[in-house]
Amino acid sequence: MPNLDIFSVSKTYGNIHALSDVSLHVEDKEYVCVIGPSGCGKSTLIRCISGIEQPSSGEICIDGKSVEKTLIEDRQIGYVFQDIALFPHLTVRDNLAYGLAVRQTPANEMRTVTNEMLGLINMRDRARSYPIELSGGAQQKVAVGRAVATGARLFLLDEPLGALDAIVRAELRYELRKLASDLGLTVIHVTHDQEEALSIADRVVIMKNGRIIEVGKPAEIYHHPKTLFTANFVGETNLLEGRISRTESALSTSTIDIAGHRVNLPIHRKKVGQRVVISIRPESVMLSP
Amino acid sequence: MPPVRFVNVTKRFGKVLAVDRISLEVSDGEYLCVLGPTGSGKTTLLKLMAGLLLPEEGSIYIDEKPANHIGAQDRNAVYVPQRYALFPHLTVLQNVAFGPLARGKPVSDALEIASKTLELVRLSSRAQALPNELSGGMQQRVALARGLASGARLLLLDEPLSAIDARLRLDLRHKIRDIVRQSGLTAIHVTHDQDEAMSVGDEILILKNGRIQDSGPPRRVYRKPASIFVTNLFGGASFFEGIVDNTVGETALVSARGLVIQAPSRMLTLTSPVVLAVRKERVRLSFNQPPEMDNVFKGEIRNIRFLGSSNEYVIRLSNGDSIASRNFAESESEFKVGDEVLVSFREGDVMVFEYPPQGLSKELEIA
Repeated sequence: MPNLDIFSVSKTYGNIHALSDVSLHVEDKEYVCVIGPSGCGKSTLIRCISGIEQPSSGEICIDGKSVEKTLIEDRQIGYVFQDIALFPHLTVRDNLAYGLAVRQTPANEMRTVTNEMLGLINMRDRARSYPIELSGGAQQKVAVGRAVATGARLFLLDEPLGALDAIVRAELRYELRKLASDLGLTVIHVTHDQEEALSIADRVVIMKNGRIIEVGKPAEIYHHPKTLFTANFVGETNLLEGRISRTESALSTSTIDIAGHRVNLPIHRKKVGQRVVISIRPESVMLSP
Repeated sequence: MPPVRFVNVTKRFGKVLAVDRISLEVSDGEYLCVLGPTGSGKTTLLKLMAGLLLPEEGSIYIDEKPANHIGAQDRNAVYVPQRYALFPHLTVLQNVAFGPLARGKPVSDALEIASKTLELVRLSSRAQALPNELSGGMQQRVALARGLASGARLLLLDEPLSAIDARLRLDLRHKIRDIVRQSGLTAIHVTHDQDEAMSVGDEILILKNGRIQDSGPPRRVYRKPASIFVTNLFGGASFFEGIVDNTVGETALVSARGLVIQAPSRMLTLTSPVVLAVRKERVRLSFNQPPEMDNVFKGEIRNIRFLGSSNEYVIRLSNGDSIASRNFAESESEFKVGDEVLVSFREGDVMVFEYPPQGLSKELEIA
């Protein structure tokens, strides 16, 4: 049900432009991953969506309604971050029920919702466990479940798997993705792990210096990046500088002179003499004796 | 002369055995990666080397001198902690110059060493910043630079890259490796990232519950892992439980829940329960019968995971088991979810393990 629109949002801290003119539309039930180097503004973006920060300009709408006047607690947003924030003295069941209890939900309704949630996060047999008895991954699932129980359908995940072991993280991201699909959540997931983003996102947003550089499906981002920055930032690549020495418009090919070597490539709309950079993925390079 | 040697070293915290009878030797100039899940004793091992913790049992030798009771300051070793621990009131440059100054270098020399080291970690432009003005990743690079600049011959790196952006991490791990080699240092690098360990370690050491599970050059550990746990932690694989039905020459026929898998027969006895493992990249998918494959099974593609340089497939075999396949060669997937495919792999690519006493799933638990 929730779709999200970000219209031209900027956020400044003194002279620092943490976000500059960011616009993004996220569909209902879409899973969007945001990646970018440290300081690119990805966390500021989700802090603005959550209401923890106010944009300096621009507008954020959930389901077409501006959230400017909506209090944080009324935005029905689930916010999960790297440091897992479960109540250590409460069992899994009581953690899941907490948000409902705060809203003074009747006891029988609370039990029904909590039971349902235990099933959805596949942790019925851990209902009586305390957070410390669970793995980090399981704790994050409880954190998601707790927010879902309170009615949140738009989820902001800030490095939710960042504190976990690499090998556990790889499995857990698929579980998290499946949980989001099963529950019909709309998710914005910030990560610095590109493989995580590529493998689970419907669309990937690349940010740099407070701006969105590119948005696309994972395969587009990896195989057909629109910018040099994306080509270099996502996955490993080899960048070679050269100059167009000849174009063959009939074949839509160009010859590029790279340090004396001639390379023919299927690119067109370039002019002879133009300087270009070509990017070749390591897995596309063949070695032979 | 080995800079570090442990003989049966044990360290306890209360009842917890953090490091359990570990013996190891690190050679001069070696880059050793220590890999293991959270709580496996990696950091404790590093702190024992640093002299920040003292062992209950066993002997530690640093440069072949008994070091059980030698404190951190007298070991010629520097421990770079996971959580930077920078001086908040000193600039980046001053933080890095601290080590050389403390070792009695004149101020001008210390500052020069510090600026050179900052260049190595690509932070020259932030030399005058205070730590809290930097991102976490940058702070970690400062901590690394401070360790490098200290002049110690033994560098003890505790998850040096864990807080750094994935893209930068790839560059930096090779950079650290090069710096250590060029400077002739010996380094122990603790990580939980298997790719990192594989790509930079001369040697790797795999820990679980405070004990060494395997150690050796990464290539050897990857190709001939000592156990199911090591296979799973270091590279991962698909696992099958089975029973040896028959052996024909060098080939064992293992029956695995309705499938008959050909595996190398080394030391296998009939009817013994075994676990078979196949690396993802050794599993091929095709629509047509593949030539020269020993094991070919029908399956259905359940999941396709795009990983950039490769696609990973999860296939359900006719007996209900799952197998994973990773294909680095294709740019766009030629298969889609639901496709009926043939799954194939060679006999020589099947790793065979004795069935673990506590069952397979227990062995696959990471933490």
